[in-house]
Amino acid sequence: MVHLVLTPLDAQGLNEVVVVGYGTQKKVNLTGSVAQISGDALVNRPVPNAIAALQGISPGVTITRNSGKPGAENYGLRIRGFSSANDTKALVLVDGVEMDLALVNPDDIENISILKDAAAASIYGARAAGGVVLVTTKKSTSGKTKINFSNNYSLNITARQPKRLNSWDEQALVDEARFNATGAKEFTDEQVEWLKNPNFNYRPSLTADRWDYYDNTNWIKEGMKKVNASQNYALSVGGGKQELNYLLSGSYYKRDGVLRFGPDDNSRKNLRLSVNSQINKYLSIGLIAGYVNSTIHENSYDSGNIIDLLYRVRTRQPVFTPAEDVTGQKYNGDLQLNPIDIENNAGTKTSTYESYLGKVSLNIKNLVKGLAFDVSASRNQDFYNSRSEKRTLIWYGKSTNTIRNSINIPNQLDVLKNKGYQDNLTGQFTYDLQIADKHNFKLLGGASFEQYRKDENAASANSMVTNDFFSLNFGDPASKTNSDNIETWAIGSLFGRFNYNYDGKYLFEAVVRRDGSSRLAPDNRFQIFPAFSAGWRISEEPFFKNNVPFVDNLKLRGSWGQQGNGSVLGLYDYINLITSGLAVTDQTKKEPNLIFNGAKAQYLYQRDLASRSKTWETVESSNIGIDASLFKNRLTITAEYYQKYNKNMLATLNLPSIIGVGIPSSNVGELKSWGSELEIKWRDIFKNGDYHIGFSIADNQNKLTKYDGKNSIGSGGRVPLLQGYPLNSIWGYKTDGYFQTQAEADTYKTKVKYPFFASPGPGDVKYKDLDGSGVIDAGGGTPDKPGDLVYLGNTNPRYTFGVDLGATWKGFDFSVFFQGVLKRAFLIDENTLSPILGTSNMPWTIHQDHWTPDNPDAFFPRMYQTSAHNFKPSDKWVQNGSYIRLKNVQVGYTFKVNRKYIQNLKVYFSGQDLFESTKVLSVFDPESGGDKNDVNAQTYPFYRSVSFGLNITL
Amino acid sequence: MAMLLSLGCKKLDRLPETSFTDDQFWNTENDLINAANRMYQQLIGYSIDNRGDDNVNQTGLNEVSNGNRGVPGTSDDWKVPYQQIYTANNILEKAGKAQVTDAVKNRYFAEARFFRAYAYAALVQKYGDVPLLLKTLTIESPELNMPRTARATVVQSIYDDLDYAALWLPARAALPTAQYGRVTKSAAWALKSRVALNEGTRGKFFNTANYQQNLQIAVQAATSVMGQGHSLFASYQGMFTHDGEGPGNTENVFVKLYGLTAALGLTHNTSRDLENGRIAPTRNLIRMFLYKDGLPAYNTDNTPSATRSPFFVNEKDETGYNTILDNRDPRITTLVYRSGEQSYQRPWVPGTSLGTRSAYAAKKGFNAVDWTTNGNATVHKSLIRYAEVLLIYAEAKYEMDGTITDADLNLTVNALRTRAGLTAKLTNSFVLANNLSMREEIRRERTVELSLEGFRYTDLMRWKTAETVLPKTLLGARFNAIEWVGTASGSLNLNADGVLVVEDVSKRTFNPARDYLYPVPLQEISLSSNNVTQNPGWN
Repeated sequence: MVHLVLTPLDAQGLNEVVVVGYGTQKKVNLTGSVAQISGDALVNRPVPNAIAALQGISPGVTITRNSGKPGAENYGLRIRGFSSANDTKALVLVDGVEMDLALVNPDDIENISILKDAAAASIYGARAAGGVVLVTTKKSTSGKTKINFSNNYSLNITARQPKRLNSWDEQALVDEARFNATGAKEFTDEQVEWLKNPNFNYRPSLTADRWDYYDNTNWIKEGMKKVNASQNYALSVGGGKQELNYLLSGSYYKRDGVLRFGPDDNSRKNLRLSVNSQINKYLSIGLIAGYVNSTIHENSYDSGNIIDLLYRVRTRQPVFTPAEDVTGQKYNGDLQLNPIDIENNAGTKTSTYESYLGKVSLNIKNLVKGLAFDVSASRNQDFYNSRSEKRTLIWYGKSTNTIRNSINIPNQLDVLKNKGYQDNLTGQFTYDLQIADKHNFKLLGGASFEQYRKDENAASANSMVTNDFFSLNFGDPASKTNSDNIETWAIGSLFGRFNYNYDGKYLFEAVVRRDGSSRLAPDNRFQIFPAFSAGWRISEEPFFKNNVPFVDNLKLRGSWGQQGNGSVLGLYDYINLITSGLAVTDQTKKEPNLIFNGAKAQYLYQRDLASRSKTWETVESSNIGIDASLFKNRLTITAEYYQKYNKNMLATLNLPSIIGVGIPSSNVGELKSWGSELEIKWRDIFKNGDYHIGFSIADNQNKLTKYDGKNSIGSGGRVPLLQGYPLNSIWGYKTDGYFQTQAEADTYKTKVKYPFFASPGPGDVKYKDLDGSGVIDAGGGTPDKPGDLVYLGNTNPRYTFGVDLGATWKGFDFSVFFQGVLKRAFLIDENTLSPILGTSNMPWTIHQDHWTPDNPDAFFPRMYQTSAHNFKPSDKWVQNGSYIRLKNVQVGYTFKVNRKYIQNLKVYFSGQDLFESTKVLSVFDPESGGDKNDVNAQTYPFYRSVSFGLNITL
Repeated sequence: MAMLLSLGCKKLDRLPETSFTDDQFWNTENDLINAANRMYQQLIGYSIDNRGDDNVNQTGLNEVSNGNRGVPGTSDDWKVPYQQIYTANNILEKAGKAQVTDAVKNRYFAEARFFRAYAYAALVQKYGDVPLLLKTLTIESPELNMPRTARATVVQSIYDDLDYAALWLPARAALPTAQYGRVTKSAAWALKSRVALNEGTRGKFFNTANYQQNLQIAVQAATSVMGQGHSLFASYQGMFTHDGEGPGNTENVFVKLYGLTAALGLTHNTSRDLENGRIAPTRNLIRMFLYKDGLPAYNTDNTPSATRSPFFVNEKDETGYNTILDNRDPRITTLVYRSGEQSYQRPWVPGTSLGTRSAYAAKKGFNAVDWTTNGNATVHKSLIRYAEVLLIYAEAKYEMDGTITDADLNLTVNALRTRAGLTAKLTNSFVLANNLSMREEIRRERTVELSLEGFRYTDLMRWKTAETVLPKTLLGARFNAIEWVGTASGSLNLNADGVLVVEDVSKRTFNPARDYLYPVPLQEISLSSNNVTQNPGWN
């Protein structure tokens, strides 16, 4: 919605054509819910990829992000909330080929269609439950050779991250925490003075073979750059004649991460060639060839772990060893691991993903009027290569006799390689027929076959001959391990669509898809997914047309259909499989080894029972919508309401333990999800320019209506699955401020047993004994018997909205886009909130606002080391995740140029995430705190971007 | 397109290439070995048992021991044996299709039946009646709702399984060295005698009919083991160190093997557990050891014995930490470190700071090489050793009719004493002369010989003495300021004799109407449509 190129204010908008499954349709004739986004809206934005650019761009489309780490962002696209308690992914097809949208060059995108409801998506059957995203890439046009170049260079500025204290303020908090916990401070007043003294930073320890440090190191500054660059270049050349034309494009993207030393970046190279040939009146062929390379360089110690150290190691520890050091080491790691040394020397991990795409397509038309055939075949072949070298690092005390800390003992090399391919063969026909001027028929039928195979080898070895040369050949022979893994699947489908409209007034559509999958038992392999939809263009009725002249278009539409979700089906779930205990690489499933005769012995077993009856989850969805455009298309309004009902969601049955073996998931769960969307746009022109205003808002809710008795809330926190509640519900205690005096705490203790902590005192959180049981606990651990826990909301964003303003005047263009969420809750990990939970974890500046007799209403409770009793899930710590954020602002100028040489020349400034207003704690990003990863101290920092760019078309 | 439309079901078949399918398996002897190996892998070796009165954990009070446990929602005590039973039943159902001789097939059937019996024995001991499942189930099986099967029926099934196992398993002497660790006839008979003793004595003290039959079975099975050429390892202490490992030590009847190096990936942490007081012996245990003259001071229920050894020193008069350790059955020197003795890292200094809540430093099973790295201990765990078989024989013989011959005592109790270096022998005349009880002395021998090996709690259950033993105060060492360097008496809870109170009587309870059986986990009841019922007193 943001950057839709303004169409003139005539009726052309009504002729707009929208890409739908296996074809296109006039927008006015759509009966399903489809959002189409122009590729122009996605470029010129300082974001890592096309998915990131979609945030807020269409109501009901939520972008999730796992991490800010270059290359590990794992952007997800969720359409209309959850369709399943299990994983549901939107199906992304780029020119009909399943692909990761994050790896597509945004400049290659002509447009994106988001198929939101069953009417639109059901033609993709078993994989459509999470919604479908159709990406159409730019095609060449015949005519003069056209060269396009665009570039942007952006500066990413970290923000909303914790700030470190100087060493004496930090020590004051440590001493306070330690005094409260043990009755003794760590440092004397004299030692604190030494911390403040810039000329006295260390001395030999009086009792140990160590140095005592009194330095003041800002680890964040030492280890992280505040401003980091990312850059994007795209070049395309296209041209030719109608008989043969081409478009060749290439792009390069690179983003540097925050770590000051060592590798921390992601780069992506794309190359794409599209060739089309109109051989004759009947026949045309197309060819697409593509290449993607995405490479991540990172530290093998994991940047999250390094960030955690930068945020938490003591500031009194210096980066380097003292001048008198005799151990010969440069970096000091006596008190705690040295993250700067780790950045420089812990070893690197490089992973490269490459994919090669080839697609040919053939189109035959005009043999019979209205009839066309399309056949296409594609293969997307990919290669993944990763290599992680973990170097041993040892930090000594004052002499090499004393090893103080170490990592990666022994050193280790891990190598993983895989090769995969996905083939797609699709054939279809369409037949358009008009009878008696008013009866319009359109019929589509087709079939497709897809297959996938991935072949993977992994190997590792440790204890290399030296710490500086890593090769599997040089590892300790006894340590070498290897494994292989082959994954295959195939899916065969038939699909059809029938459209009928009467005089452009009454619209009807029926869709059917039959899918069969290798993942399901042969006797249970096929399923049919139908959908029906209808529309009524009231504005075409004479009574309306003549009486309401300011309405150009008014359409009511409704749809019903079924879609499948197969993303949680295993590859061979219907077969009883024998596993080798030695080959289990998933550490969560790894069991202890077996030893016979002094050596590891093989053992084989069946981990889970097979399930022959298991099938896709079926999501039944219905949608009603209204589309209106008024005042000669100046004002457009779309409103929708939908319901989704996953009626046979996969869930693991709760069975008596006497079964003795892993239980397969069965289609027994139910999830309901519902929501609404509203989008209002106004646009108009004035002399030498135009302007537009847009507003959209979407709401989505869900409820896990059946999940085989899953009703445990444990001891609170985020509960992913709970029957009768939304997914990811948050449960916690109610609090009533702090105890202000010991007497108050003692009185409380006589009435209420305080199980987290033996001796609550002034400054501790007072939990409410809601059930009057005399003990603060989770009762029976269920929603019926929650003890003192209460439901505190869920992580599902509600009322997500976007506001979009823009104008052009002469050569200038300006746009600004706000995006936000009105209601959401999430939790921050208790390890992160609680200062000094481990004695090695240092507090931050935010913790200075903690309880003391002089600060009775502080945000944080009293300092107390190694106890999280004040940080149990509670109303006090639930974050109000609502926010409004200035997502993007752009100012551009298009030069007046001599069209003979240059078609177009534009320069622009673009800013991303420049500002937000939120109640979320200042050191965390309100958009994070996802439904999977709770926010913690390893979280890669959030950043704002400013960028400058240039577009030239020759 | 016609081709696409004609795609059949077959085209969609994709079979796993890096996992076997069950159909492809169960053909060769190797398949059977690898399937049977799963049972050895599932076998639990070391586990800390603080349920009795003999030792305590540093982490807190044991709720089974002090009678404060509740009914759990789920429990590995119930769940894990059924996982082992599944593995065994699966082998029994499928191994028959292998293209191997009947003798080979029967060997692995026998292993499966041994492990099935082993798992049921664990269940019966805790829960009494349990669902007896002799086949694998599917998620639709009606048996998922089956009720509990009568204890006697389950026990009969255990006997049948073990008889079959003893018939087809190789004899100890015939087991190739490379197969050491796999079960033998001896293991099957030994397990049978253990189960039979449990059923026989439990039956006797809970007034169940026909308990003698079980005791008879125990004697017979133990006798069978005794005919297999086993002998006691020369060193009592060595039995629990790397010295005692391997087939050369025929005291090993059934062992769990651990990896020789940490890289093999199967280790435990026993030596650190000992150092850190996770297995800290109590005075209650130490009291039960004989003095070197063969006379006691306390009975196995922790009451003073009628006759007391002249070596006994009243507890309030103990002059030093080692007083109670002097002049005792030599096995006490294997049980705990003396004050000043070189222990885990340095000479032992009495105290509770390292984690031992009794101030006694457990020594039995400590291996310096195992201690070096946390979590990297590899010494074997002898799950059934020949000494236990001898003690089963003696106890079953005695309990059958209240008598035992000196010859049988020499074969069993006195053989153990000789090995341990205790010269005083147990004879009928010695018992008579000193006004002792033969039952008491046989039980004492078992308690001492098998101390810290996980038998104390189950013995109290079957002797029906838990109701008097477990509610008693748990005691530790006697405090003295000179030896307890670094410990202030004010930080300790001492009784009138100056002895450390580990857990006071006021915090301990035992409900005889309830606590002789475990509570069935709630989920097993509710998920069986309430066909599985709760044990008495746990509702």
